[in-house]
Amino acid sequence: MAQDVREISRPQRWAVPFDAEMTDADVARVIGLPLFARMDAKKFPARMPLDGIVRNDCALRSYSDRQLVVRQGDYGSSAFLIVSGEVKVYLEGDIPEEELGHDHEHPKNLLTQVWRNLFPPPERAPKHLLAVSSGDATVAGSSTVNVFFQDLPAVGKRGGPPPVMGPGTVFGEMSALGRTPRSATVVATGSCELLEIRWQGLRDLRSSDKGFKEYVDGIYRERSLTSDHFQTSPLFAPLGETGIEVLRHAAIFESHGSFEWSGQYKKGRQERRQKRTAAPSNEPEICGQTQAAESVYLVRAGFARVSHRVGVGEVTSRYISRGDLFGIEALHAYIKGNRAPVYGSTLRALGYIDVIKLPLALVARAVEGSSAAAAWLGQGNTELLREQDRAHLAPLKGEMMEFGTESRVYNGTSIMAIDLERCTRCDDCVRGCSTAHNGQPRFVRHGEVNQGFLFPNACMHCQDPVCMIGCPTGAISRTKDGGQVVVNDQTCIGCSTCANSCPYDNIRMVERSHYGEKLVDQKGNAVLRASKCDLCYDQVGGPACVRACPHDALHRVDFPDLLTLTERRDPQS
Amino acid sequence: MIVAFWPRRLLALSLAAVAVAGAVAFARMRAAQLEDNAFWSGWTLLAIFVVLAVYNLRKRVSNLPLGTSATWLQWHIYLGLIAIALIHVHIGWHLPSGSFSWLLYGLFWAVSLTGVLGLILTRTLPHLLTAVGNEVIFERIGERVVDLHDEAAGIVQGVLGRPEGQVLAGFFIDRLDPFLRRPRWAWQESRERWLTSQCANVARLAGPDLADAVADLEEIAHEKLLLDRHYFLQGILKGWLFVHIPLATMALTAAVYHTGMVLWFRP
Repeated sequence: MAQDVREISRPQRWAVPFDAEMTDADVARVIGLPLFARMDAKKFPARMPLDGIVRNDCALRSYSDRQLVVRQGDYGSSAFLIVSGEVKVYLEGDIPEEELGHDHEHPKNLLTQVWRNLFPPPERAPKHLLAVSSGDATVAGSSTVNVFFQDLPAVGKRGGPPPVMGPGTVFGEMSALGRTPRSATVVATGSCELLEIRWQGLRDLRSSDKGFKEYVDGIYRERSLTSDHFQTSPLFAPLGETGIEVLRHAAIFESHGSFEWSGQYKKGRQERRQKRTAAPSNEPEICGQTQAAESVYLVRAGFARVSHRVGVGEVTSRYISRGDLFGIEALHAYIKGNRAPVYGSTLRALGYIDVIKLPLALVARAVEGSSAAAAWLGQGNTELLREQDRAHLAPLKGEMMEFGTESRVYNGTSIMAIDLERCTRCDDCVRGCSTAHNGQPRFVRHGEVNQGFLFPNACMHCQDPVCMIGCPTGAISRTKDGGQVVVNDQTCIGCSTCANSCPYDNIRMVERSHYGEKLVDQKGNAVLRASKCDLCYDQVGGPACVRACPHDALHRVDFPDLLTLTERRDPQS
Repeated sequence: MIVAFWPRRLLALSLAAVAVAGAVAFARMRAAQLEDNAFWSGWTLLAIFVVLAVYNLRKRVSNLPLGTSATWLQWHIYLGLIAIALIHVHIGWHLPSGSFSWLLYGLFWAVSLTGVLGLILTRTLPHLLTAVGNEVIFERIGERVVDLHDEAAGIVQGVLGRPEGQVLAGFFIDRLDPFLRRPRWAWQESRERWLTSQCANVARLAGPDLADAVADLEEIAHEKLLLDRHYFLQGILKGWLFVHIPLATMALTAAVYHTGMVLWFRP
């Protein structure tokens, strides 16, 4: 039987503006601000004009005294420009956690869950898709929160008063560009007006205006060096604020690899599989195994592979990510008296990585002056050397590590892994997912197999969700609460950018329907929307796939836990 | 947190053993006092039957936060084992008397044995399936077999113009076509040897020019063999439930009827 078809206008990027209340006067005022006035509107492409970006990707927000602007720990996909007034910046620990009031974005409702289980509702398309004009569209992705603080500390964690930022300053760019949680809490001081620029607008402004790009990249680098990375590192934390300040002055910020690495990776994946290349291609070398060690690296964001040469190939011994150190074996050797140590292993950028490079001799001096740091170094180094020995002597034991690094599964925070030694292929997991999502499962029990584990094409909720890079409307974003990567059906225009960007093919494009009617555009082509696992973030009880598996075969784990999954098996397995 | 399976198994078996020992000791104590054990053990058994049966309903509402299916299965297994001991406490360690009692007892054992069989199958066949490799979804096996048949037919049609092509055509019509028609519910090691020898024979007759075509056909046939193994093993894993669940439904119905009759005719 032929399905009923309903013709609609194909949704466009700016069908749902960031703020539907932006007027012509607002747009003109924003373009008149010094930061925008310096831009050359003629350099912007016709399909993405400057005033279009301001109108559709920006929002003017007013804040009252002591009102929260952004909260440390929340995932954000927008940056702010201070139009008028001032804001204060509070680092982690300055404001007690209970006062920050992290809220649940989507309260879990058991009754709704029960109802939807019994009577799954038909798919309904968003109103603005069906309407002729998009005037009644809802605001997409606004980050305004109505939280006010009664008491704010006069003195910050570092001793002085909290830093104040005034008109013309941009903040929030680290989270927006790096797809990472907000590193500080920002609170309005008196009345202030801010221009919120969603990530897509920030990207387009950077790509079309060189001056804006240099300005944003400059503050990104500067703030990366002054943020809390040193304080949270077990090696540097014992050095105290004075010791850290010395290191900070000598630190160099470096970026390696491509920020938009997924396309390059997908292209090279097939080639790597076929050739089993001796040295990983498309992974820029940061430092080599036999290279004289002159620096210690602290990872600011992204991932890197640590490998050793074995025969003509390389064996991955570990991968490092945010907060991890590289070069501590060399540091250990230096402290023990070897004044010309080598790194002993190769460090390669996996996709994109920001590192803070510190002079080895300086770090050695600082560590020698701190017994706690020296003790950690001794202990940590012994563990690392043991890891390397394992990798050298029995490369195959690290097969899961090799697989995880090669296929970049390490990026996942909730990797779906099905133990095929226990899985009876009953598909209860798929049925559970289907039940939880109105009869439309978000994954197929199909994917790569390694070490007897199946890795189905289900979203892994990556630490670095590259699927978010190209989304023109901001429909794909992280939840503020748990950081799950979710798609907003209301604002997804079905452009497939996220599905094409996902290096793991974990996003599927499905046809939209409205009460059983298939939606098509004027040319008769199906109107699509992105569909992916949302980790059942709005449901009581956690992921339905895990709850539905009768044999404890299906797990949602992050990469380190994945490595221990095999240990769970019975000896005879 | 990821925990190994054996401690859980040990704990559950120990608890089940304690429960059975407790029930037997309690029954003996009551018997020594000349008190009846049929009443409490009967109601306990019925309650266990209901809990066991509810598991199937719980699987249908997997969206609801009623505990994980895996936890339910653990309870299902160990309560089932406890029930085996308890039914003998219920009937006083004698064989049943009367045709209905025999029916109920027979159904109970049939359900128990199919349950134990299912447990063994679900713990052993996944290893075999993993060893087969070539992961495939059961419902897609038929579709893939049709594709393989079409691919093989295409290869043979492609060489029909050549003189040696008739050898391949004959091989396809006599051997491959029936083999590739549909998935087979069979695990035959001999089939692989037969296929290898058949392909070697055809390769010899078809000559070096058609060696690639023969190799492609052999690859197709080999994939079909693997699909048959999946069809066989996954079929068993799905099929045993079609025996266990109807038997369980009949056993529960009979148990409810039995309880009703006991209450009705209770003095």
